[in-house]
Amino acid sequence: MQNLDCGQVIALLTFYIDSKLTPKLMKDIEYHLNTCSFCRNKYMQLKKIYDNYADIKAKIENRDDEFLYCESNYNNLQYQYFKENLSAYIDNELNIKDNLRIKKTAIINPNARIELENIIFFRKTLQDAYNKTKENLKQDFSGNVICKIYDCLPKYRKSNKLSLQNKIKIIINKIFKINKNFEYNK
Amino acid sequence: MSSQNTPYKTMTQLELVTLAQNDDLKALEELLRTEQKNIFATFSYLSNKREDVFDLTQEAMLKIAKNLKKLKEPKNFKSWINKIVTNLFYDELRKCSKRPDTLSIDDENDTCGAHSIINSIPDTKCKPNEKCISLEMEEIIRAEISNLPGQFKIAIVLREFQGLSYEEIAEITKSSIGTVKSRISRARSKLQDGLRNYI
Repeated sequence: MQNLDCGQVIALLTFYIDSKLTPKLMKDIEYHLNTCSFCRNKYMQLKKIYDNYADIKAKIENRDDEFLYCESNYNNLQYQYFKENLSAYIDNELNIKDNLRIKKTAIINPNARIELENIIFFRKTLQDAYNKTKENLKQDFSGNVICKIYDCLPKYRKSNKLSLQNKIKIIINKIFKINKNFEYNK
Repeated sequence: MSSQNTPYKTMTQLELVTLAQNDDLKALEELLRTEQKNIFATFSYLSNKREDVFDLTQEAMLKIAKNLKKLKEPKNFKSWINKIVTNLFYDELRKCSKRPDTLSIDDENDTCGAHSIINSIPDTKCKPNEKCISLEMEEIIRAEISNLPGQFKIAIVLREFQGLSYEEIAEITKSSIGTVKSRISRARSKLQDGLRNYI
């Protein structure tokens, strides 16, 4: 058996921990560590560091990077506060302090920014839908409503020239009446 | 009060309200004409029954025309008409809860309605941010909003479409600002969830 001195053993320690030495050398070092307390202490320290490192490495590898990243962005108080107040923020109903807080979150947190963009786009879509709905009303009720309140055809309407649409309506109505009378007489 | 050639069409809402309050019927007519689309669209989102929307719109316009003189501050006109609209809608809700549910024969076949399975499949070709919103999309959004619980839809409609402040909405719906805030927030997330496949 070859006798190693402390300097040699310490130089080889990292390889020993990784088990990257020949079986003979491994045995020699093991023998030395059993007999030399100084080297054994060194070995224990180094082994501890290696174990911790391996632990952290395994944890990181086991988790999806993206998952870790999102988790931290979703699971904090700041983000929760942002979620609760986003609606009031876009309505401009927050005080200056809260307003700034939301703005800050949107700048720092990419998920928050996406939420903000989504809700603004969502609002725009609603608005477009509403404008479209408005155009669904083809009739004009205003004249009728006034006639109902102020009894039919008040003075102001007489001076008004009839619109083309109304003229056509009246003509059509007359034709229908004539037709009905005609059928009735038959 | 006004001459024959008063340019009613170019007047602001405030001017029209003031003139109408002083017995200018043409101003009143113009005012109603400019507001009717807005009222109609609001009821379209509030009421689940399309056939009721026209009646509600006319009723609201009648109320506006009758009571306009009672409005003390003409600049509160918008908030005031929304109060009328909301109260009419509340009345309608009350009536609906009393009378048995009826089905209109004008209703389109339910299998092609907004909630069929076909419509829950996301359309990857659809790019809504391109150009204008489609007619189908408008119907889907309208269905989603009118299916929200009563208080939620009033809050979201008054906020999104009428642009009222939380304070005004709180006053109209007789609730606190905090309640309005949470109703609007919850209505938005519900709608966003419901429309996820389309937007």
